[in-house]
Amino acid sequence: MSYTAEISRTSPTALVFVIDQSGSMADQIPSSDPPQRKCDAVADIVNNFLRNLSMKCVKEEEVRDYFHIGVIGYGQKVEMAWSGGFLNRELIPISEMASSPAKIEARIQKLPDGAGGFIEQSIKFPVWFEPVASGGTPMTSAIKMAHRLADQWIKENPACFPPIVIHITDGESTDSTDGDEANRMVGEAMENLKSISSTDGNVLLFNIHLSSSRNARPISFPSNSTALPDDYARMLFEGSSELTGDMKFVAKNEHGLSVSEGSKCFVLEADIILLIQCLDVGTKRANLR
Amino acid sequence: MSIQVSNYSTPKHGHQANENQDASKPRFHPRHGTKTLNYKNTEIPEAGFIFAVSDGASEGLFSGIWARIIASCANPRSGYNKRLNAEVLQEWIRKSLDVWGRFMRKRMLSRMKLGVPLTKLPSWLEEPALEEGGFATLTALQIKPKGDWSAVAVGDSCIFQVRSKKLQFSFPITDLIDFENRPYLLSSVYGIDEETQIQLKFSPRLKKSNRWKSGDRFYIMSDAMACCFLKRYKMGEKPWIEIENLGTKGPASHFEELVARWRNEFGMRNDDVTLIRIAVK
Repeated sequence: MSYTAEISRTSPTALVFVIDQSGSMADQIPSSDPPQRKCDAVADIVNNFLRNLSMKCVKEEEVRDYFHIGVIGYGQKVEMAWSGGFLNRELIPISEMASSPAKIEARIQKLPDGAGGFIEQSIKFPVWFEPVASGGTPMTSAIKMAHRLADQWIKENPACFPPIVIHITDGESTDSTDGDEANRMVGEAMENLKSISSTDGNVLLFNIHLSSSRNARPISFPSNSTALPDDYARMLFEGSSELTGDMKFVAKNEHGLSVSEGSKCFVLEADIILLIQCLDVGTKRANLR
Repeated sequence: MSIQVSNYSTPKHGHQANENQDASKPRFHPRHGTKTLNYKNTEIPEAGFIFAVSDGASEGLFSGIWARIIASCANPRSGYNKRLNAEVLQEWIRKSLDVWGRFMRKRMLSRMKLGVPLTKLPSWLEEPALEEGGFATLTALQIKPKGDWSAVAVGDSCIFQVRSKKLQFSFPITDLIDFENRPYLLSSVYGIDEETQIQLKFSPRLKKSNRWKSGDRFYIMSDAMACCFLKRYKMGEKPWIEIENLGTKGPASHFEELVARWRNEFGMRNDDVTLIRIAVK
């Protein structure tokens, strides 16, 4: 299991977001200034990530299909969360995704002015995915949907760099009224998802848990579960893949995050900065060719 | 003194020749294949010759064209007897940025006349892509008469000096682990940033032992081949023997066969590969 397969037009990989859209995602992010709902922040971050990834796939004068992208939302329903023309589409080649955002907004970006201050610059901000927050947290069904997409992808691309699944949530599964049973169901679905593999390695599953408390202390990429506060956190830890060597390199050298042997693709009580760092760690050193 | 220089280049497996993002000085023309130039004593200027490899990054707008521009702008300055240094590199970069600007303006005008967009990118992406531009490495070697040579590198394309069946010098990378780091790159928009400026590599002042001697070979290679070359050398092999057996002209140089063998037998990364072989006498 090497995670060394090149990612190219002839050997692309799949990147699947699984995003919690339950009612609690309407809560404000602790310490956010100006105040921002979690669902708005996640939508902004994922759209911005897809914008940057599209730019990363620019070679010569076109966007190359190194990735096929999927965004699953779960809350009121479990379904693909694309807005606009991609309604009901599953994995979409990144060139097609880049060509047809649901809308393009004008946003203001703050850039350093080189003298300690900032200048404001207007940018075109494509939107593929809108914020939603309603209903329960049907996490198991969402993970099973990601499983189906990854399984189908690997059947069609058996030698690919394994699909990367990035699961972002702020709360516990409501798949069962019994918390232990709900954890067991999600844990099992995550184990099943991680068990599928291409010839280059198993599916990589990130679990990113968003913070709901102002005083929470984030835990990033732990290698054991001793510091985790409860069974739910331990279930997410167990359900996460181990960071690959390249991912550890980015976490440590580019973000100054602590990693060790056995560090997992898991963060608990993440703030916005840590969420952005996690997306970078998951994809930065992809072996693009 | 005489110099014989042969150039070789091939795209990554599965790509077309026109997708090759490596560039070199002397320039490699895929249609003509390998070319060998011979310079005799009287034809060699005091400032010597510059040979260079530039590797266009896998990301970025027109990185392959930017690599070709950088390689073409690496020229010796007549009457300038210093070794390659930051000042010379800055001059090359300034010239390259000018050429890039002209290339973009010309393209813009011709596309406007045709009524077509500047690139095939979606409109929202074209602006940030233009702001980012292209990126490429540059490793250049200046060879002058009387044993003098010097080199400069931004990124991980490498120079190897071989003498009497022994690797004499490796530049800028001597440790295989350094091939794992992201290479520093020159930008078509701002040239060189502060961080890259600090990471510029210059060959050290020459000792008697590594001034070039008659019969020495210099090889300049893009990173995939350089990494494989160094790995095999560290395993006790002499990879330059196969390079010396390459032909001097056109498809008969058998460079593609060598690259395919290195990929299959020695795990060379599937990437564009460029080699310049220089023999000095």
